[in-house]
Amino acid sequence: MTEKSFPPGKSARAAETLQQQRQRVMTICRNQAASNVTHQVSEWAPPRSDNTQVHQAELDAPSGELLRTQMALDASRMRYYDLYDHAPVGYLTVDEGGRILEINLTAVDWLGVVRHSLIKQVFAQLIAPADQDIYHLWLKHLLETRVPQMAELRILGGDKPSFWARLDGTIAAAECGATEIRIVLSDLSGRKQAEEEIGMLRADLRSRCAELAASNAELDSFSYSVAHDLRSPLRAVDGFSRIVLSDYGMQLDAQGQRMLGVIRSETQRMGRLIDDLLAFSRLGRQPIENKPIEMESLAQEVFSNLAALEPARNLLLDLHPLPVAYGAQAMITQVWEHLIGNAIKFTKERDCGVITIGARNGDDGVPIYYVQDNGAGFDMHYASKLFGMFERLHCPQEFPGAGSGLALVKRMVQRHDGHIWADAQVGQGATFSFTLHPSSCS
Amino acid sequence: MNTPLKMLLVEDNLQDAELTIRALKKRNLANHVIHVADGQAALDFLFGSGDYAGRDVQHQPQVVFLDLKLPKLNGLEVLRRMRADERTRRVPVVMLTSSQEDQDVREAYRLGVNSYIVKPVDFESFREVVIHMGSYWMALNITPAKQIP
Repeated sequence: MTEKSFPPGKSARAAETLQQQRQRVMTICRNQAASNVTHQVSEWAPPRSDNTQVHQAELDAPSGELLRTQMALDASRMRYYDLYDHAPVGYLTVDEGGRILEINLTAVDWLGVVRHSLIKQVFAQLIAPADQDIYHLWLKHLLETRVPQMAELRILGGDKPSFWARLDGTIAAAECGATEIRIVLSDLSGRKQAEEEIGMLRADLRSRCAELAASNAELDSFSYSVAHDLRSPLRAVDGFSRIVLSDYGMQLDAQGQRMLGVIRSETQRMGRLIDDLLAFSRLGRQPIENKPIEMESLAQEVFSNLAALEPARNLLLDLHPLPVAYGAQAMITQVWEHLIGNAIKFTKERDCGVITIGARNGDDGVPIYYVQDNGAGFDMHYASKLFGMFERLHCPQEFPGAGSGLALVKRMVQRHDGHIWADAQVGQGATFSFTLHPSSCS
Repeated sequence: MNTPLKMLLVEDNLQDAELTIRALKKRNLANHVIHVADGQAALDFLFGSGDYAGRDVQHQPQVVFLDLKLPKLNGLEVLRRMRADERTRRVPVVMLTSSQEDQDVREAYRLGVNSYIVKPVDFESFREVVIHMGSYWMALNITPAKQIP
């Protein structure tokens, strides 16, 4: 049993801190049998004085408080390790050379390796070979700029396949002053998978659009050749029935002549239908040019031309200022011709056909042009049929027409990325409104 | 057979041919119309070969009304060959066809057609066109003297 001889004297003892004294005591205690501890401690009792009471108390007190502090520290430490180890992301710390100093359980789990085998390992080993460049560049950047850096790369997962991860690195200083790099590792597999899916969907969409465009082009071409080929026999029917009428008509009775007349007029009607079909199909095949169009002067011109064809009619144009539009002049002229022509046609029962043309601003700033008339109008119930090919809402005796004009107009407007719609009331006239693509970019 | 030739009508559609000739006849423009129904026959006639061997090729038509779509040799090929031969190089050719395809028009003019007319669908307009053209090319238009030196 060795005893340390304690230097006598108050000054020597005061020179020691209480902490150091306690440590010495604890060391002695640890080296001795338990039963002797109290004896030794009690045998070595510091010389009694006023201070020693305090000292004694202070010796006693800190051990209790120390214990509590120690426990609190342990608890706190456990809590932080828990947060660290089981974070939803991977935490790791590497030194300047890229060696792993610390790594949390989440990362360990992703990497499929045991924690202790990772410490001191070069992190680069765990990066997929193809992405080594990305990693090293990222590390270099981080060390040079000292500014947080991000990288996306693939990490080897041990038994599991490699996965896409995001590294967010920051520079920090260790307690000893050495540079260390704190890395947050996020699993991007979910996101990468979603990106892949989107890529596939996009490719699918593109190919379907291409198919659709090709199919439309085929349809257009088909309609064109059909219309084209139908013209020839039609001409023969028309021509020969006319010859029969003119050369042999007098040999026919009134009924016979009338029937031959029907053949002729129906043939001509068929010719117009074919022409409309041709015009319609041709619309899909032309590229749309993108020049500015003076809508106001154009509308005025179209109205004047159409009105001149009907000198007997009383027609009034109320033209408001119209903003410039962009597109194909020829097509937009036709749009005005059909809309104004219809307005003139369907107002023929009125003493004065009033046609109002103007423009107002749409919700999205795109101007809406409109043609309003005080004519026969139509039942809104059938509005959806209005723009169908060869669809009519009035019988030919009331108002003539093949029913293709609005279908053509709709197509022309659509080719300008616009919309067309109509509002009307029976007997109260109709308003046709349309938009075209907003600016000079198509 | 020294009656001056007026028109060579190259048209495979027999109904169209008949309507054309009738329209011309009504205005006395069809006195000397030769009608052939394919491209080869047209060349045979112009150069005096095949069925037309022995024809006096010095006598060329005053105008050739040529359809584009023909069996055997198509209209553009007939035109090309006409323009390649000294004897027929100057003969006026009018393309009278259903095709309105821009590339056909361009090719015809490139090969040296004098006029390109699209056949109207309805007979009335068709008749008018034939009459106008007939009058123009056979009555109004002047061509060099028939004898080619």
